[in-house]
Amino acid sequence: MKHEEELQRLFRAERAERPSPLAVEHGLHRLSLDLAAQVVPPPIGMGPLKLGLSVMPKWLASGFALGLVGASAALPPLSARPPVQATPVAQLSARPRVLASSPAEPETAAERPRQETPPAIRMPSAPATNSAGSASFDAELKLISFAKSELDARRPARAQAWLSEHAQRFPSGVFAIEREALFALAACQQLPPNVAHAKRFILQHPNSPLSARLENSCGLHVDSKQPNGSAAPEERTIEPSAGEQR
Amino acid sequence: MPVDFESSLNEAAALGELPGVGAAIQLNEVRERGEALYREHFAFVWRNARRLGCSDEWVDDAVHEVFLVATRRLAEFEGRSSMRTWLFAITFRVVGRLRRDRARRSARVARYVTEQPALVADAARETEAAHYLRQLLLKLNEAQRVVLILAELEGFTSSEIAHTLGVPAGTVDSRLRAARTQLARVLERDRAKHERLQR
Repeated sequence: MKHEEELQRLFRAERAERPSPLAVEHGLHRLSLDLAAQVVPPPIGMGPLKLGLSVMPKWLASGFALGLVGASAALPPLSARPPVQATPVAQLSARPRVLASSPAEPETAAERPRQETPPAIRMPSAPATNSAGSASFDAELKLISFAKSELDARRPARAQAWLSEHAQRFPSGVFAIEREALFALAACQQLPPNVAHAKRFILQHPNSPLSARLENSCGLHVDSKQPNGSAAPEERTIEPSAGEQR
Repeated sequence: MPVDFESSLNEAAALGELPGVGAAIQLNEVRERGEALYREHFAFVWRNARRLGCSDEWVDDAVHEVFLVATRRLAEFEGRSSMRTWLFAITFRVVGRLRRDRARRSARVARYVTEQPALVADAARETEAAHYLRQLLLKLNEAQRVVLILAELEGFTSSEIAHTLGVPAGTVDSRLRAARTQLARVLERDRAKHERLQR
């Protein structure tokens, strides 16, 4: 009972807190300036808060939601790259488009089709045990997710700004490859589109699922030169779509 | 000192921050929406940002960002919940993001530190009790803290809170009970500690 009275006293004191009129006017002035200048705040999620319901680690859930975790897991090790298998154009066009998906599309781990889940997930270095690593991972993921939100909203210049910040802060970060792919996609969204980055990415990472997605999103077409449908990296050619800017 | 929006716009134009004349009408509507939203709900957002963990150094940044987001996304507000619970959800997310992003926060504080006015109307009202309560809130887990703020300090019903959180009303009630129990426990611990120091 004593505690209840004490709590009520504290609640009353907190309810009585008011901002100063000066703070109100100062904030309004600042807001009006930013609205006039059309300042865009970093994107945030909307909808119910859903607190305390997550059973999946935050970094993993976020990665799945972005469609990025595991996307680079299929990349072969640099020292032992297997021969490139050219993908038939018909097969490419049938692949789901993830990088440029609409923000309205639900992309939770539960809703993602099984065949999209990569066979192995590249784990960041001890995200759950190393707090510094975890903070760094969070910061990386945030930058990449901001960039992806901007791409979903077809704002390539803003996406590239986030990606540049990521490149500056985490040049060899966990999402370095995803960053390159998103940057290439942003270049494809520009007017006029510039597919040079996408072509470079595809040549550098021919086996990456991101390459296939870029081919779809940027309207690039792959020609197989060998009769069996495979081609060495140097032999692989990419035909630009109409209107390509070099 | 009332804010003159025309002078704000002129100031932005002088800085070269305004887009072309063609967008003037749309801009006008946006700033009117933002102004109305701000005037009506500033105190609500301000006090809850502090309860969610904003310190005085960056509460103005958080509030500012909440209204920037809310103004831009007002069209998405469907009216299924109250405007205040919608704003609370935005506030929760903005505060969480700013709290995690220490580097960005430091930069913004440095940018605005010279123009920060006094934050509280009457310093005497910034009571020790209110400050202590906000410290206690930070000792609860997020789910309990949010329910306690909305129920005890803002007076929302269980069903309103349930809608905001996307959980059943029963869950809200049990979290509220757990939060109160936890607060009582912390109060007891603090009291015992205080008495030990007194001896």
